[in-house]
Amino acid sequence: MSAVGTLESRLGELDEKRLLLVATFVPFTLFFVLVWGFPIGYALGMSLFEDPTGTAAFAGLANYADVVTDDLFVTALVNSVVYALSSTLLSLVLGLGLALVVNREIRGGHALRTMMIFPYLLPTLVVIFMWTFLLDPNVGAVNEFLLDNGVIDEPFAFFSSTTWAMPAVVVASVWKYGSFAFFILLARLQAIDPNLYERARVEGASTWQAFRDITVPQLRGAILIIILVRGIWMFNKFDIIYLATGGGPLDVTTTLPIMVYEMAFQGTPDFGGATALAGIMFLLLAVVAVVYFVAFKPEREVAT
Amino acid sequence: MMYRMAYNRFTRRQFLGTAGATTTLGVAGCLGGSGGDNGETIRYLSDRGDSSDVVDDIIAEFEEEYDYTVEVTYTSRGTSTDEELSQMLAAGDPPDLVFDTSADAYRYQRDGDLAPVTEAVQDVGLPDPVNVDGDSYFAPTMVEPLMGWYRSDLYEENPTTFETWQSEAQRLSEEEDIDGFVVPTGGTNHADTFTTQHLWQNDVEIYGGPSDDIEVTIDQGDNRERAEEAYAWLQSMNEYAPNGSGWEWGDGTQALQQENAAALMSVGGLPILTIRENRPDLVENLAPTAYPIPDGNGQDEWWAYMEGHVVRNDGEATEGAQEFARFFSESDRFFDFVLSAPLFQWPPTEELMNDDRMSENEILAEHQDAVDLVRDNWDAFTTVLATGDEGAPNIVAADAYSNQLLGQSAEQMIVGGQSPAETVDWIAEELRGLQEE
Amino acid sequence: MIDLGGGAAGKYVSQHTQERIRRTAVVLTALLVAIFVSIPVYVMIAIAFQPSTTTFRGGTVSLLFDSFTLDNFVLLFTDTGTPRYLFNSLLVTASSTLLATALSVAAGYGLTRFEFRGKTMAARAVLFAYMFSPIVLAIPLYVIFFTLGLLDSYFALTMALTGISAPFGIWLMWQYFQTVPEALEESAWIRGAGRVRTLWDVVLPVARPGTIATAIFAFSVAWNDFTMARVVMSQDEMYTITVGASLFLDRASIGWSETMAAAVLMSLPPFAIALFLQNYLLQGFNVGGLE
Repeated sequence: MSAVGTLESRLGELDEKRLLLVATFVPFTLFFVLVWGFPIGYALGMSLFEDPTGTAAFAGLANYADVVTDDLFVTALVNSVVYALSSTLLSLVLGLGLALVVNREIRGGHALRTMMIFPYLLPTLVVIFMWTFLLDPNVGAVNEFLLDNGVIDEPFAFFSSTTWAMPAVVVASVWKYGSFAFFILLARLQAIDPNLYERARVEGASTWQAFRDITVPQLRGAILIIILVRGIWMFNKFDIIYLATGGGPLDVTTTLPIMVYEMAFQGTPDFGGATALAGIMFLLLAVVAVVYFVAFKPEREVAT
Repeated sequence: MMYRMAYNRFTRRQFLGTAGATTTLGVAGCLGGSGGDNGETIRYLSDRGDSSDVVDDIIAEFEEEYDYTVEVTYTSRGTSTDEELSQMLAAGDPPDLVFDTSADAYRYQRDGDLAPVTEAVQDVGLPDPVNVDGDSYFAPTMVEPLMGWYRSDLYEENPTTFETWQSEAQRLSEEEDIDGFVVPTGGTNHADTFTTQHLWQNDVEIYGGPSDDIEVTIDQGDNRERAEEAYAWLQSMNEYAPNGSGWEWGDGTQALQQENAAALMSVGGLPILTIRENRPDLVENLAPTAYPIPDGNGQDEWWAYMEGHVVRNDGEATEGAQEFARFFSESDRFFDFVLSAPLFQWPPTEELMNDDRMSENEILAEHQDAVDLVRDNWDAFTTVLATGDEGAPNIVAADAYSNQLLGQSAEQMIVGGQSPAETVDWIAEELRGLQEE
Repeated sequence: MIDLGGGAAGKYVSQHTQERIRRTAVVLTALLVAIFVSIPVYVMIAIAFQPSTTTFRGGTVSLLFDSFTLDNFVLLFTDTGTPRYLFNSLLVTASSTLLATALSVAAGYGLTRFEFRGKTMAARAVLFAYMFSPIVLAIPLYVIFFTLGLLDSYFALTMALTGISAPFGIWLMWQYFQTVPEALEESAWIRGAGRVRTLWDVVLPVARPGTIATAIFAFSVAWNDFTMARVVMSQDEMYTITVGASLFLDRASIGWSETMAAAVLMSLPPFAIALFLQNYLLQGFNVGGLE
């Protein structure tokens, strides 16, 4: 560890200092090596073998070739992108609108904030219970409401429909994760100097102009980060889709994480294929991460 | 519509020898030495959480008489057992005793994972569906025949035939503002049994040949035409049914319970048990029925799950598990176990069907017509396993069921828009794909 | 939300009218969102506290709350593994919260106060880990734990959960310690306090809000987790409440009423956090967003 070497030469003489150094860096390093580095390396290694937990015959990139040529792979990739984009953009629109509202400090704004944070903290399973029940064709309140008001003639099975299964999953996702964008944007809004608005008003700018010329530029960075980070997280989301539809009907909600799970744990385990697919997802993430690091330099924030 | 573990996607490598995997995992288990089992503890995996009271009593009696402890893991019923078991195996911690279906028992036997339970079967006089070279590998405790339920206040009488079901379902859908039928599709037990049974109703022989040479015959000769007819009938019934893609038993039951459908083909009295809890007022309007059948055909192949005990040979208390299986079959509480879910679970022999305790049960007494239906059709009951020539065990059918391929074929047609002919091609190819592995 | 009257028109409408229109739009938006957020919660509560015969009476789902019962909860505790599931959840949640928080505080302090080469790399590694897909991590962890014979253990699940929650915790504490001025420590040293003592008596108390935010976050990750528990635990007696409850609907004796009762139980800790600790949580958002 060259890092420790440098530190030692700089801080050298103090034993206590060295103790602190060890106490802070050893757990950090151990953690990253054991819980992240090793498993990921292990997975990448496994992806090169046929039946890695059994006969373990070296197969080169054969698993990768099998996965990429599987018809389901393209479907799952497209589904992942559609799901990530739609749920992120919807959350953003919702979050932005609401952040602007709450920033106005209307009465009940505090209660609204509490209300917004609750879904975000709920277990995914609870969210899925709620939404599968609400959207259920037989017992669901949404269907009953639509029937009573004559919008539909007979109950509609959202999660069974090849057209509506994905939108239904997206709605449940936005319900849960929508407040992420809200809280980030609210924080940025509250950091804007109120004098700017005051000056604009004095100069006779309309509300819209003030919004366009002051608010939007201040939020631009936050919005881009939300799209990127939230987008990645939604791309990687497993539990909410798995619990709602299991990937069906006819694979219309099968995303890459669902495909990984199916390959690894359903039927006879295919860990070679599953880890190869995980490797592909790892590469995709790495590309996005590089873009993120280059464009935003998030590490500057800690580079003291 | 909830939580479907059952979307088993069929991949090419899926059936690479389970045996190989099991061996490796066993070795890992020794290395890991998980748990402190000392050989006196019988690990028991059961999906009968609903009957845990009775099972726990039988275990207590057993533990008193024998020098074993029984450690039971209840999973929920149905789809989860297989996944549960494969995870336990992967954890190097195989159970000694598993409550499972005869089809699964046969698969495990093929993979060489079972110890015989001959005494628990042959000495007690139980049916013996998994008999290999004179040894029995499956001790049945109950049968669960498929059965339908229809609204006797809406249907004037039991429509019985394909033709009448269709015209009556159409009438209800048009006049009564309720769907006449439910057509479940997709990778679920409900959809798979439903599709298979309807093929059987039209005399389709999906497979042929002896156990060691099973052939897929669904797309050959007359079978092809009959299979297309059956699929076409399902397609037409779907006009009078809610979108049942991905529906498991519970979803169909809810459709019946909430009066969105006027008939449901399910398993035994399972829907009644739920509806009694939630809509007791509706129960008197529900009458049992056999699955629809083309005019002139007889009910001669009737899907009945057979469930019971298998003993694995890779656990640490194999002998104890064999003792327990026998003890269970002979126990005084055996009948209480069967009747812990009346109408859904039925005794394993015709003799026990006539036992006094059957007529004493209140719920059964309320549904005498269902009891009669079971009794009258007893000889037609068969398992999906017994679909080789002369009822020989059929490993392809067992594998197809565990992947729910037939249910998926219905989804290919109804959701995916394939024609009945294309659907027959699809399923034939998938089934042959199973054989190649 | 905004005055949608647009730019040009804005000039001719008085600022007062603009303000009124805007205010109405604001209240309307708030109302709509409140309804969208609260309906599912209301439905959950209504079903959990009603007898199922009331809920499903007459073939339409009744959510009016005209009879109240705790039977659904009683059945959960007597006929299912719920007590055991809750115990498992609490145990792994507590242990992984402790572990993740301790790790985050230690690493956060070290990364802030000590200069070293490769700091940028470390920051990137932390961020990268924090964007990673749990399911992709779950597969190799599963195989590794299986090889070590550690599947179905609290230890394995604790490690896996800490693996997901710690990267964000480290990131958060890293940033948080920067808001603690070094001068604070230096003045303590001058007064003769040792480094460790200073950390304990001076730095940690000041960093408490950040620590609490980290702990809340680690708690939520562990309490809400489904993926890791589903993969690592394969025995009923080791299930957490999320995995256990996800299997309820497969059983004949358990329906929506009991399932929603379980959902209410799972919602209690998040509800308490939203109500009493939200300010700490918002601090977390301000520092770097959270998953």
